[in-house]
Amino acid sequence: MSILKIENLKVNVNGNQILKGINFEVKSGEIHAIMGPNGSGKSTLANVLAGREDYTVTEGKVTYMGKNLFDMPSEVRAREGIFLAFQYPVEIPGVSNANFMRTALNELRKFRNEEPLDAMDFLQLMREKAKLVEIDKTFLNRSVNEGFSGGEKKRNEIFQMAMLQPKLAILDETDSGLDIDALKIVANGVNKLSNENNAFVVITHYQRLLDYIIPDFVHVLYKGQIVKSGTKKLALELEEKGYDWIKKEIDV
Amino acid sequence: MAGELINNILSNFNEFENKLNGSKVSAVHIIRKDAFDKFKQFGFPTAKDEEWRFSNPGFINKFQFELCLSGNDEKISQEIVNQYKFENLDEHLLVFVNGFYSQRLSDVKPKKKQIIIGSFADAVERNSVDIIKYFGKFADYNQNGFSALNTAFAQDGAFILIPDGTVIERPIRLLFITDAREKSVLTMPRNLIISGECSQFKIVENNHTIGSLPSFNNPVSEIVMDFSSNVEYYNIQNNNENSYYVGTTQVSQQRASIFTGTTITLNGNYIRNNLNSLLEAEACETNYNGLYFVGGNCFVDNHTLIDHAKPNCNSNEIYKGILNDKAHVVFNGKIIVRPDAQKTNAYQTNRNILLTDDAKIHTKPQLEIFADDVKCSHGATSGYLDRESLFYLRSRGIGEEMAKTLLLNAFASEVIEKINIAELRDMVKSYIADKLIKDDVYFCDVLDQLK
Repeated sequence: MSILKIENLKVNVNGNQILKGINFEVKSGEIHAIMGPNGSGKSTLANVLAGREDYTVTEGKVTYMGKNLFDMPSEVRAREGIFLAFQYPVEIPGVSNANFMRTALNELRKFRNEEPLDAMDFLQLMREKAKLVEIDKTFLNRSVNEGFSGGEKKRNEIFQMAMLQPKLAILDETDSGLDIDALKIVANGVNKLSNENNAFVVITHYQRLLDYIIPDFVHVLYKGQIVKSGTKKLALELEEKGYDWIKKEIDV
Repeated sequence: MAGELINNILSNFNEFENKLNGSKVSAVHIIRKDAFDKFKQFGFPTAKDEEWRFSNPGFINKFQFELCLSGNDEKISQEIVNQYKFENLDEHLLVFVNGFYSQRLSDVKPKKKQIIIGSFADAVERNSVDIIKYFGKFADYNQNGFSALNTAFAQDGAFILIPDGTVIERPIRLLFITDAREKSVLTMPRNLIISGECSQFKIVENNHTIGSLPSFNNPVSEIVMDFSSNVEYYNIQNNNENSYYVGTTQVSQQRASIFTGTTITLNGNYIRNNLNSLLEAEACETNYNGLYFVGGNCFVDNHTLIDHAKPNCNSNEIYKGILNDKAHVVFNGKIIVRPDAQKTNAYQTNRNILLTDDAKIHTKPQLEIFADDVKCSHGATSGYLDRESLFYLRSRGIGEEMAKTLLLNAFASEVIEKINIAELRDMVKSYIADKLIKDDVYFCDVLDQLK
């Protein structure tokens, strides 16, 4: 089943065209990796899909679960099952992780006409998911991402993903700044959540993460376009030869 | 001097003096007369005065305020007082009607004989040595017309004396009810609060106007703190749209005393809070916590002064505010560190969130440091809600309104959590929540619920 279909997507940021006609489709059960050199438009793609407002879609169409994605504000996209793991998670002093997740989860349940979770069930769920990404229980009382290390912030993103159980998760350079242990924890979290009903789009600069999260498809984004698509082998080739090889091929 | 109010006040004073008969020559009245002379000199401040630049009290000439020279609580029912009760709060309650003490409406619980929780007029009547010793000695009436005017007409208000070594558990609440149902009134309560050595207590001040005519409250409080005493003073301001308020609180701190002043402003038309502390001896601590969450056309000016006169004292000041609609807020935080006051630590923060383009904030930290071995800092920020944070919350399925609510609650909570009276804290929290949230079923703090 098609989860996400992107057709000829063109996006401007502050008047500059960043995405210049993107096409690809994600079906349920699939893991897609999007790779590419810095400034190729990877994060723009992730943010446009999540509904960040600073981006202007000038052309193209994105269909999510049969609906026009651009008809939905970002909170509705999230309730419909889209999750973005931020490259730079935001610190929110004064809002506890527990309160944050409880509010998010209950907004989701309300959207689905379900009763809100009671406090005990919620806490139990939180403890269970916290274990999955190996975060300490005390973190539940701490303010969202405040004073967290880079690795803790990224693990918190995966924790939130585990709590909200999205249909489509987009991981925006979740591996950047992680040491190998944290990388394994993050990858393990993704692998445990992956099943035939959901899909992942993993954006990464390096092949390293893909040793742990095995993608079904690899796309190379360069200058706002997907210039090459392939299987896991493509990622290995990039690791070996770097991006220059592709740049040469395209820029000629 | 021009203005109808001022002309009326001049004749009011004659009327007041005639009523006094024999006590015209009392020590208290000598101060009143002196203050009245000062008032005649200054009149009311205008925007030309530096301290009133952004807070022009033009309203004084706009309405025909009538000064209340005597008390009458007959028209105030118990039901009215009950409206302003805090749920479940066990308190000593002093009620004042148009600035005059009402024994009938007050509810002071049994206490030791030496403890005085009563009226200023009673203390003047029985020639209390404390009145003679302290009245008019701290709240400087040489600086502005409002304090001078209050001092000139000082008749009634609260008189609180907590003796050495006494701890009062119940908060002492001063409820000032202004009756503006039949006329626009001007009230001038005068409060004197004395904390003995090592005493400890909490005071809560509320002003409420009933009726829809304009009202003007011009209270002055003097708080005199002895060695190692600890006073928490809360001013919770949630009056109606036709209320005007210029309040002055002057604190005098002796050695090792701790004063915490918390000012929460939620509604009113014009609110000017002068909160001043003089740290007259070593090892004092002064904490000012402020929160304003205002909208409509509300004007709020928090003018604070912490005057470090002696060494080894600490002061912490944090004022935070959320401004909606066309609210206009002024924060002026002055800290003086005198040459003697070495090893002073003084910190000040003022943070503002503007919810609309029409809201206005003037923030002015003013540090005057004359000692060299001190640690002082100040910071002021004003801005809109952080868009990154909003997007982050929304990207997790939290609707825009709810996301704003979460962020604003988080912003305000830093001050709210400093309120040491649970019932008061809950009131402020639920007021803010009510104002922000339409759909409260899905919003609650899970950790609060588990407690």
